[in-house]
Amino acid sequence: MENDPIEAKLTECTRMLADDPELQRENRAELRSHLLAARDALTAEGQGEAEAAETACRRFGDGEELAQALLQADLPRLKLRAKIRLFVRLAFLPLLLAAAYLTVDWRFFLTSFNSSLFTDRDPAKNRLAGVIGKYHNFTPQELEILFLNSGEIGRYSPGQIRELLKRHEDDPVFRRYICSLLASGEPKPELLAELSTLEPENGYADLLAAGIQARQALKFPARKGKQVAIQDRDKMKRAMERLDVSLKKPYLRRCSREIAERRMRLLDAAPDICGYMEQLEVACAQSLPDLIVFRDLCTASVLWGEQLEKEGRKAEAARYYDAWKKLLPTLNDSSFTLIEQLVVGTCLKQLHQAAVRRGDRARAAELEAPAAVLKNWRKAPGADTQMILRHGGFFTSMLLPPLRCRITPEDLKPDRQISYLMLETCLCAVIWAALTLGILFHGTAALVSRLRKNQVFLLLPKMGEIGKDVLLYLLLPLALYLLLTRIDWIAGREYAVMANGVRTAVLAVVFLLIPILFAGMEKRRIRKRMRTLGTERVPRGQMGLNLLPVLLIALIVFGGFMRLWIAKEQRYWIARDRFFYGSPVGFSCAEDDNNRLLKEQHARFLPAK
Amino acid sequence: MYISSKGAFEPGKQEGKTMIRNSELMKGIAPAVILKLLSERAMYGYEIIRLVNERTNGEFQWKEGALYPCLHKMENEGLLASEWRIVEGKPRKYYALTGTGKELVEEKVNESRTFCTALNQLLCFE
Repeated sequence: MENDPIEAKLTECTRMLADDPELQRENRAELRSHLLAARDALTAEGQGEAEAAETACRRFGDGEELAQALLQADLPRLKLRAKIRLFVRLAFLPLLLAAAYLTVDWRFFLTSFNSSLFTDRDPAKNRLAGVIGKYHNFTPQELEILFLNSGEIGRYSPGQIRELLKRHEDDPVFRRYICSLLASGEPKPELLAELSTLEPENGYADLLAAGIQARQALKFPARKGKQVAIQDRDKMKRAMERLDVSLKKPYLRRCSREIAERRMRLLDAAPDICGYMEQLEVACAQSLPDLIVFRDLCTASVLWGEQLEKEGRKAEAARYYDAWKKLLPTLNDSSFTLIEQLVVGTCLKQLHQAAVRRGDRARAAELEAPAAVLKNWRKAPGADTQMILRHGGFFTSMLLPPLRCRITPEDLKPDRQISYLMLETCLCAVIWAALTLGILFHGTAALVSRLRKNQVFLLLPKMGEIGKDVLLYLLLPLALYLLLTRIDWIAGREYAVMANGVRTAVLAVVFLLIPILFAGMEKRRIRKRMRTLGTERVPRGQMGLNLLPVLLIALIVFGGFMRLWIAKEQRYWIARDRFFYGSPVGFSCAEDDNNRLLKEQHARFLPAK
Repeated sequence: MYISSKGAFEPGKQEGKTMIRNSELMKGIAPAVILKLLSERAMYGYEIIRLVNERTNGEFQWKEGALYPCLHKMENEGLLASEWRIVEGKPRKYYALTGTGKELVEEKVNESRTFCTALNQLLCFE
């Protein structure tokens, strides 16, 4: 090549620009086009090709002088470009890490992957406690308050439970919660007795102990329709004596609502979908093992009353027939979940049926109205399930159909929008994965090329091109995103994600195609630029190096912009949702409403505590 | 007579014509020439040289390569904008005037005319 006088001349003229390979090649290409044109003109005038090339080079001027002049002319540009390249080199890795971190809602994914809501894992064994603990910097004691449940405490030895109680000795609410957990699994009567002495005026520990004993004394039928019966009279007698002790104490307090409220205050969940999932997870970790105790004691006290009546001790029997009047108001008043209300309703129904069965007209009449509350609630027209499936979001579709709520498609809009935003969060993560793979692939290609001593260099865009790039790569996707998410009739967002499958899939594909399309356009631009610099086939390393900033910008667009936008949107819709977010006790506002409704209706018929 | 690159007046004739070869002198007038030519249309370097030769009947004996530092300097000053185009399969860098460049054309041309008139008057005084 260098035997060619033109190439030799070009090398001489551009040698001082070697620090900037792009500028050197650009100058070389420009000067080459001149010399070739001059040579061709001279050849056309009749000179031989070699002679024409020599003449063209001679007319071009002194190579040394020209090299100096070109360096002087391009010096400001050279300095600026060197600074830009240095900035790109220094900023690339920090920007890449920042963009990679911002693009993915890590809390969302860690919460989802570790959540027992989305897996079959035992809630007690899930790793979400650790994840949430790390995010919120909870102390071990706070984590115990947040995540201790029946499954967890089942693995504790009595000694460990005593240590646990000691750690929380100034916390009567949590102590009562531990007390309720002891009612599940292996009975621990000695611990319940100790707890009873810790709060002697509260009948709760004795009540739980009575419940455990009563359950052991009962015989539950193997087949539906058969009656529960007493199988161990002595044990039942002891259980009922313990119940008497409990009911004679000044007060009977459980703590489920207080502990649920405290958990939510402690969690202080962020007003986003991830915060709501954390809230659900913590709420699900709340155990209500004492519900079975209330139910069994209602059954057992009536059976014991009937037993005493058979034995001719009618006056004593009356006390047990009416035991529910102390048990159920406690359960009703402290309830915060729908299931607690279902237990209250079921107990009232069974008590009513028992009174009817034994011909106790007075008690049957007394129990008729409270027993009808749950029945009427079940009969009341609920929300239109089809409408929920058509217009609801993920949560509304799962949770609202069994509840009695007055709902319109407009009411479902926040959860529906949040579901689309969850989908977009997932798409962002897919794009993140694709871009990260792209960066790794092209980065490796560039590195290998460098290690092989091939010349790879960064092509810098012209100032004029930057404006076009901003328009194309930033404003166009933004406009597209706004168009697709704001105009309902294009994206069909008045329908649920599942009811809008085709359009949602098309939009997801469009969303995913944008980075691929832009990468293709960028490749084309790099090829074109390299062609002007005299390289017909762009080496893989050169292509890779020049795609890296583009991929990084795409990551910044999705991470620094789209994902944060999505997070903002989530908060906007969560603030407008009236079914799920903002429940002070954990599950959902819709469940709180149903609990409140049933609680008020039951309270009208239950004696005051 | 012609002015050498070292600045001294030296006799120089080619094919019976007096030619301007002084590179410093050429450097001085090149911006005005370039601005004037590019005010007609966008051009590439070789085209500018060819036009200068055509319009001056070869009076300007320009070392052709010297045009490029001048073009680059003017581009860096924001007077010109360049663009690569592929013409007949060959890449060519075209230059065009920017807004600032366009504003400067008349001023530079008038300045050169005034200079030539003054120089002419001075040299023809005796």
